[in-house]
Formats: sequence, C-alpha cells, structure tokens
Amino acid sequence: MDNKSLLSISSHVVHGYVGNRVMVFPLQYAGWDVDALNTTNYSNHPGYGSFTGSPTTPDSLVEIIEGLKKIHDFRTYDIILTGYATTADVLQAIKDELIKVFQKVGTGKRPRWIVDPILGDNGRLYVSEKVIPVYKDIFSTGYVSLITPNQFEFETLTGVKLESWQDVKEAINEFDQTYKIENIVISSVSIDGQLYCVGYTSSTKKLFSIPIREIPCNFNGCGDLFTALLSNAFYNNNFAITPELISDVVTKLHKILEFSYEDECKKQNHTSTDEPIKLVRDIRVIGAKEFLVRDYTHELLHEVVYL
Amino acid sequence: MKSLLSVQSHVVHGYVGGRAAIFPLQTQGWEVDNINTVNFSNHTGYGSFAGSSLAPEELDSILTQLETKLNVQYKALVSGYIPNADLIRTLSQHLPRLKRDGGYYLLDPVMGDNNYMYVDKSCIKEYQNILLLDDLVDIITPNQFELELLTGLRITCKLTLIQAINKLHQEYNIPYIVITSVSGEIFDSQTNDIFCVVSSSQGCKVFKVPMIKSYFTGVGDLFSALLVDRLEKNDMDLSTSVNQVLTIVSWTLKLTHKSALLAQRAAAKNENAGELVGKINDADTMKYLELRIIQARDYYSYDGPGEFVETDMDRLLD
Repeated sequence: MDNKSLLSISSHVVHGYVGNRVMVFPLQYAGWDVDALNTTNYSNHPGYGSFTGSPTTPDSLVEIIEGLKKIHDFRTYDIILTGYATTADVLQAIKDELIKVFQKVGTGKRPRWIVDPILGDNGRLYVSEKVIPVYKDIFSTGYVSLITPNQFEFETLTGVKLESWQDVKEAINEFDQTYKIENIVISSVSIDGQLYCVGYTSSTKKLFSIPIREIPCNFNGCGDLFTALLSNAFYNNNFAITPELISDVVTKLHKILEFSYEDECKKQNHTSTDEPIKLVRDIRVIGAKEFLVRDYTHELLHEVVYL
Repeated sequence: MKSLLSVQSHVVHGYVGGRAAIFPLQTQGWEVDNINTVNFSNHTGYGSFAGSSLAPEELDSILTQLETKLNVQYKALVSGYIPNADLIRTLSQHLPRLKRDGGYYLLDPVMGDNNYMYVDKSCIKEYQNILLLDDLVDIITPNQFELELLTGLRITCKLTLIQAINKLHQEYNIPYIVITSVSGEIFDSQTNDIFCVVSSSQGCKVFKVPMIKSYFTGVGDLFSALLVDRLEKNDMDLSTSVNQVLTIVSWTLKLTHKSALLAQRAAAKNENAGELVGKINDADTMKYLELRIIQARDYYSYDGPGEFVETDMDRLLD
C-alpha cells in the first residue's frame, strides 16, 4: 500500500498499557499503519493482582490469520512483530502461519520478522517452559531479522548466566553459531551493578554496549514498548543495528519512563520522605507522546563501547 | 488525564470501529480503554472475513472487573457497533455504574444504513431500553435509517424528521442529538449532498455536506470519536463541535480518496487507471479505500470555525 505497515501479534488489555496496547499507539504516532492481532482479550494485565477475560485460542488465531490472508498480502508488511504468546500451542500456530508467508516470498519484498521472545523477567518465567523450544525452532528458520530478549530471556535461551562481559561475548557467539538470526538486541544486561543495552549484528560480528540510566522501579509493559520503539528505529535505520539506533531507542524509553514515574508520584501524592515507588503499572504512552517523535540518535554515542 | 471507555468492533487490518476511533482520541490526549465487541480479521465490506463476537458473559466479567477492582473513572463513554441484543443488554446493565462519576455517554446506535439492517431486529428494542433508562444517554448519533428504527417513525419530509428528533428529546430525554446523514430528498436537494442535522437546547441546525461518490467504512465511528473530543473542548457547544468534526472528517475523506487513487495507479502501473469507486463486497477496491486514520493525524486538533454553513431548521420550514 502507500505507507509503512506492520503486523503486531501481542496481547490486548482493555485497561492499561502492556502488549499491543503499549506498542500500537507509539508506532501509529510514528506514522505506521499497524495491524493488531491480539493473543489475549483481558480486562487488564496480571500486575493488578486479578484480571478477567480470555486468551485467544490457537484455532481462532489461525482462523483470523487465514481470513486476513484472503484479503491482504502479508508480503506487503514491512515488519511482522511477534510478542506475547500465551502458550506453546499459540506460538506454534503463529510460527506455522508466518513460515508459510516467508516461504512464498521468493526474491520479492520480504517483511522483517522481529521476535520478542517473551518468557519472563528478573529470574522468573511467566509463561510455560514448553514455549522455550518453540522459540528455538523459530530462531532456526532463518527468517528472523531481529530478536529482543531481556537478560533473563537471553540467559534462559542460551543457558549462560550473564555476569561479566566475557559471559556476554561467549553467549552471543554461541547463540550466533547455533541459530540463524541477523541481529540481536538485549534490552538490558546488568554488569557490575550497571545496566547496559547490548547490540549485535551477525554479518559484521560487531558487538557493542550502551549504558542505561536506571530508574529504580519496575514498569509493566516496558519490554513491549522497547520492542515497539526499536522496530520503528530499525526500519528508519535501513534495518541495521547501530549505536545511533540504540542511543535513540534507549533515550526515548528513558524519557517516557521518567515521565511515567513522575506522573505516578503526582497521582499518589508522593513526597520525598515516603518510601520510593517500586512499581508503575501503566506507562504513560499517551501523556508522553511528544518524546516519541524526538530524535535522540546522538544522545549516548559518547558512551558506546565495542566489545 | 481524561479517560474514556470505547465499546466497539476490532479488526486486525483496516480502520472501522475502535480502529477508526481510538487513535484520533489518543492523539488528543484521551486515555482510551477499549472493549472489542468483535474480533475480526477485517471489516465485512471486503466480502469475506474471519473472527468472532465477544461473549456476553465475558463482557460482563470485564466490565465488573473495571468497575469493582480497578475503580475506573471515565469522563466519557462511547459505544458503537455491538453485534447482538445480548451484548447491548449486558452493556446497558453496567451503564449506571460506568457513569457514576458523572461522565457523559455518546451512543451511536449502529444498526444499518439506507434501509438495510446489519444487526438483528432484536437490537432495536435493546437500544430503546437503554434510552428509557433514566438520563443515561447524553449524545446520540443515529443516521436517518437508525432514527427511524429507534422512533418507529418513517421520515419522509422535514416535519417527520423534526417529530422524530423531538421524540428523542422529549420521550427519551436526550439533550444532544446528531442525525449524521439525512438524504437530500428530505431537503428537496437536487444534488448529491447529504445533510447533517443537530439538535440541542441551542435549537435545531442543518449542515449541507457534499458527498464523495464512493463507499467508505468507519466514517461514522471516526465522527462519534471526534465529536466526544470536540464537545469536551467546546463546553458542550454542539453546533460548533459538529462543524469542526464535519470539517476534519471531510479532510480525512479527501486525503483517503487521493491516496487511494495514487495507490491504485501505482499498483496498476498505469496513469490511465479508471475512476476508483469503492464498492461494497469488493476486496479489490475496498483495500484502497481504508480511511487514512494515521496519515490524517494532524487534522484531529482542528479548532477553527468549521467549513460548513449552518442553517436554522426553522428557516427551512418556510
């Protein structure tokens, strides 16, 4: 069609900002036509303690994808993004449907497949471990352009605990030899008490890190927003992972999180003598929209380290 | 932040229902919670689609969760396409609680157009029941056909139109009424124009709107969403708000039509491609005519006087 377009396969919640709800608006605001395929229909995310609604079954996902294929050529997407898949069956169904698309591509335009292998965070799985081998199968297909795990997910996928830069290098090398992925971005890795974002490109073997200014608080939906911002930057940067791109994404994310944190403090009438706020359940993507269209490509370049 | 609940359809691809309403509202600073009444691959105008409707029990459990556990407070509620009577009834049972914080409710009673119903007849009674509940509906945006279905009055002339509008004001106590499209015949128009009629305590006004000869979908959904936003910004001044909304919608349609022609020509690689007219149930033309909701982003904040001429209904009666 006449605009950049993207298919995002992730969760839907009626209230709050995780999954597609935290990804679709930032991408739309950056000018994308975003097709949103929902893997859940929940009232809210589980971080609230309870929720209602239901996950989309593998059968109905396949039915919707097949229905969509009748009226729309998936090869015209610039990016296909897969995020939260509730079960191994759901992920397998998505994989099978997308593989059919990539097998048909031939020499024509090919959507870039970005996979956020959503498994868990901070040492805890929040999906069944049966999902892990399905992600590994997906990485072996040769169709994935970029993956965006967090530290826990990359450790789970490689079996290597990341405690030093040597560990990071070895894990990335081994991963690169095992699977056929063009680019890897680890959204955050903690080394010696400092957080870093790590980028790697298989064809050049270039591996680099950029430090992240940490806000000592958890943000639900943060990883999903990171992947959305990265997808837009990846397209704008001719599908190359470079320090400029990571600088832009990491800074945008930080600005949005900082805005959200301050807004949460206001909402709770938080004062400096109170216990610090440890959790922000809803990132303020709407309120922070001005940051989505700013350019931060040079913000952190002086802090880049090649490994 | 001002928050809003939108209850409408979801399609994976294209722009109707929530997909035409939510992004414009978000760009104007609304925190939009959205309940998807259906989850379809695409809108039905393509001739084929897949997916399913929300189960009434699930709507009930989601709304209960929002009200009792999350304690949501909405400044506005919008409902659009709801596929069956059970879902309308379930929503209506929750409306008093959803409105307890004084938010206003825009009901778009989506049932059909041009004498064709695309929901079951049983929906009419459920919408009428909502209207009978005490002062729940603040704004209603039916088209001419939907106005006939709700009031049971056949609209054949200006007088019957006014009778139907008055019935909504008097019997159902609805303060803000917008009949989004009334056919030219009612106003003795010889051209292809349609008319938008608004009625509130400010009186009854008519806007003449030139029609683009094509089939677009999602226009009514975009209209309702923008109207909620404009009414909030204009202190509930209905005719100013509607004029602004008609202006934004007409720019969006022109942009859509222009982009569609370019896209079609690029696809045909032929500068002499024929006139593009969207036809229902024709995927080949439909795919070009999806509203350019994303590209129209900068239109949504329009707060000028509006491009349309407003005429008092009284003057037209002479």
